[in-house]
Amino acid sequence: MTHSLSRLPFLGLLVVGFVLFVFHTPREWPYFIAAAGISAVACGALAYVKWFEVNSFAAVLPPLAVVLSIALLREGQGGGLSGFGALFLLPVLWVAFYGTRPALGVVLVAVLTAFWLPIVLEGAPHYPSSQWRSGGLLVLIVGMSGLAIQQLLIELAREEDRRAVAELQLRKISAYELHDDVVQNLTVAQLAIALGDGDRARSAIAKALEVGQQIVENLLAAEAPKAGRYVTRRSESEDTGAPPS
Amino acid sequence: MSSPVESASSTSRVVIADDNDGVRVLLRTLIEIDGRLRLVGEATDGRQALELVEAEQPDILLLDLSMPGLDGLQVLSELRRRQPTPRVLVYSGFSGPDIREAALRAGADDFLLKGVEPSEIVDRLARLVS
Repeated sequence: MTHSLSRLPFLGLLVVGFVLFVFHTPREWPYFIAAAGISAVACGALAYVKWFEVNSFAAVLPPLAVVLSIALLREGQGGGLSGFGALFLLPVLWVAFYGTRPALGVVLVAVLTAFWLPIVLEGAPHYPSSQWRSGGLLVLIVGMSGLAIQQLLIELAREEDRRAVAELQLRKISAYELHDDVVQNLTVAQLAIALGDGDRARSAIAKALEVGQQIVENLLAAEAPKAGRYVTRRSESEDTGAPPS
Repeated sequence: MSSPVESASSTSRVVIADDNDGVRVLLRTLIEIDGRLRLVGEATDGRQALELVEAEQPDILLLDLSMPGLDGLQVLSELRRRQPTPRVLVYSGFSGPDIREAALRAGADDFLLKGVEPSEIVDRLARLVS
């Protein structure tokens, strides 16, 4: 699954939230339009802009924008009673999967603020005091889940790194030994030719060719997955006219 | 096959250390045909090379780098701690300035890449003791 495709479920669930808005009352369209606009910009930034991948501070902006968007959506449909509070899980889980630990902390604080600030500023009936409890519990639970997800991903990445290093070392050892075999056999062939020993020269050349073929097979097997990715990227870039990433 | 010529250089004694049987056999033949040097031992790994150097006290060691057990660089490093030490010609299949530099730094007197003209091998060996 490509990086873009893996993000589709998040976008899909956000869209479901906006669709549900249409079927319920009260509907305050200015909030809906503002929320939809902010979400569209945030999702567009995530899909097309590359700067957030190299700047950890900028990377937290799209999920923060989605938090703001969900807060506006709630406001547009009755506040705490709208049932949209669960949508706050999306930016938190997003950062848990694709962001850093500090970014997760920032988004959790933003979600808590989105829950609690309206209680202070507006209060009941749209934002009853029970929202203190529900907001706090939601942030606590999703925060713990987010940390657990990040920890698992870190361990998976470490394991993948260890495996890649071990594979590289094995390939180097194998390449070193096979290379030595080729050179030794070619040396034998050269010396044998110089000394007029045709049988030994022919036998050594045959062995060198055999080992050479083995090297090519090993390299092809090792490079096949990467080559497949390159071909896919190249065909994608040919379709879109964009350079392969 | 010519017999060793009895001259100053013909008394120079050589040990070959290479894990490849074919290379050793052909180097032996090459040295015997050339006649300027006398082969006194063949080692198939680094440890055996050190034992032969100890036992035979050769003038020259023709040393492969890639060998089982102790490799050529380890043999060179061990030889530096011993007296007297033979002149060492490293004869390796691994090219590149790093390998050559490493061998010379470890104590080799000369470095030959496998693939050179066979006559060059005995010429270099003879030059080491001339």
